[in-house]
Amino acid sequence: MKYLIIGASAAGLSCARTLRRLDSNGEIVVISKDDMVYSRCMLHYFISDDRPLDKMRFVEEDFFDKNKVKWIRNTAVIEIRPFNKSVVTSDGAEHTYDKLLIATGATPVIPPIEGLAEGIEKRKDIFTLRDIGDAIKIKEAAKTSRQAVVIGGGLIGLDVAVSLNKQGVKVTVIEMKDHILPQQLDKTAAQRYERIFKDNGIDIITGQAVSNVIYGLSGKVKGVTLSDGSFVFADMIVVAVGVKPSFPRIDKCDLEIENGIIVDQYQRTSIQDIYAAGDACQSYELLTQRHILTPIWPSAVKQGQTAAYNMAGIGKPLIDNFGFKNSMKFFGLSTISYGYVEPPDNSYNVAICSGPNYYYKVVYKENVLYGAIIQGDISGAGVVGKLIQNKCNLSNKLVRNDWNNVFRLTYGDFFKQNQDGTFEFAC
Amino acid sequence: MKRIYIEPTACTGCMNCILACIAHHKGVQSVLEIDFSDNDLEFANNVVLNTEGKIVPIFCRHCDQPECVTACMSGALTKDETTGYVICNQSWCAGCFMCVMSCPYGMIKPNKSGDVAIKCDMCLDREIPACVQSCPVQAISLIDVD
Repeated sequence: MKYLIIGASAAGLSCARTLRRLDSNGEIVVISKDDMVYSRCMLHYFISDDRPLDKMRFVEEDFFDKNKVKWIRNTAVIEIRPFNKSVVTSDGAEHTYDKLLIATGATPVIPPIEGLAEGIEKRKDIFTLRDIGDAIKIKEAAKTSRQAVVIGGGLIGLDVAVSLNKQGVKVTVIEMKDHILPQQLDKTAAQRYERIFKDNGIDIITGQAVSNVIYGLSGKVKGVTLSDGSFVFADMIVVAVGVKPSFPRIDKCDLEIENGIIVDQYQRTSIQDIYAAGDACQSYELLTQRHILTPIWPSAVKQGQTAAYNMAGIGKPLIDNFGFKNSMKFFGLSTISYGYVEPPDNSYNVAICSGPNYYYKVVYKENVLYGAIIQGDISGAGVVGKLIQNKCNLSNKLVRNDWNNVFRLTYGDFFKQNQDGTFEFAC
Repeated sequence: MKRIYIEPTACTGCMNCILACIAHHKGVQSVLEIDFSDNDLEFANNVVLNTEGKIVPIFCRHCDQPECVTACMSGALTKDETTGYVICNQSWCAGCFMCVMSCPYGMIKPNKSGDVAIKCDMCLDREIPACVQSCPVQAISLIDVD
């Protein structure tokens, strides 16, 4: 059996590792555009000098040797040919497979801002952050930059902002929505961060779009104009407005695609013997009960593992694909959020508990939790995440049925132990 | 591997297990050597009072399919193939706390300074974990599991 995996990040390598555990003899080949293994979640630590290049990997140093995985690196797959059961790489070579995993991830979205797209193509001072090459370029540019604009106040944009700030660059973050981290936080939790950012010298502009990139006579970036007509000076720009799935061309075939490659609970695509996992795929998600993109690390790893089982012929569905969880930490303040951070409509209720150093909020309906923000002391947050993921009925768990007591729940309220000492969640 | 089996009904909530864990993480032999004015006392287990008023001691399971390891984007958390224990290599941890986000039992947490994650390591340097050894009522004991 020959397994071919495209992509050497979370989904691809978790698939390779699991395949080797399940099939000691099969041939496993990983083809990746990347020349090294690194965690994309840590790219900003490289920019800020908090982590050297040789501490960026998320698997052991001898991963490929130990697991007898052949790695073809620095090589892009440009086409998949399902009729030949092969892929064609950028060097013109053709590689066959019996089972194929597409774990090619995503690429940054370039918003339709005047002057932006051509600036990215031609110039050295506009960047996106997705791979290690981008991080190296941004770090290099930071050495001579005085002032940077980051377009997008999501997790990546803010990570970049903090790392540039640490390198002594004056940073302005521009977020279109009325607060930063709109996908992860509500306004209250986001505003705590906005204050902290400002205290640390990072400017945050919300409720404004970038309408124009302005270049100087020499062709270098001079700044951006915003929707209200104001001008923000910058000698470098980082675009971080989100990512979209990215995968090779697929020859004359009906691959079911919406935003990403649609997969079933076995990570199978609509083409036989082709599987997909991670940011490139759209899979059934628990909270929304729909097939959506779930571009978070834990989902990518689980999807890679699930694909491995099914590629190896062991039917195993992914049953706990919960895509709405985020963890962040800026300037020492940690936050974890799950599910809906705002009530989707007025049939939901909210309970809040907050003080100077913490802000805890849950969104619930009847006796079920649908979302939470845990900011400050995050110890034990995972219990809340599990309650949301499993849609546990909490009617018997709250003292006097008072929802303000929800923040006191621990696993001790759901304790159930099996004979072998493993836990279950009793609710 | 071995797992810590819990008998909640036996637990009196004396917290000796937590003190023992603190001593272990401080690298001292006895709880008498702990300086309680230190701000950096760490422990990886917990004893809670639930809403029914019952005392429940909770310890890391070193799960067969550990959610914390799945969520670890730095590679700091691994399930050791020989011992079966889930170990956090703090020198590799990036402090993203996706493990804290993912453990359904709340058994991994940020350390006191908030830089890296801390969890149970089964006291690999000793024969019996300090918590188990210190429990006066056998509310926790070691069992062999596959």
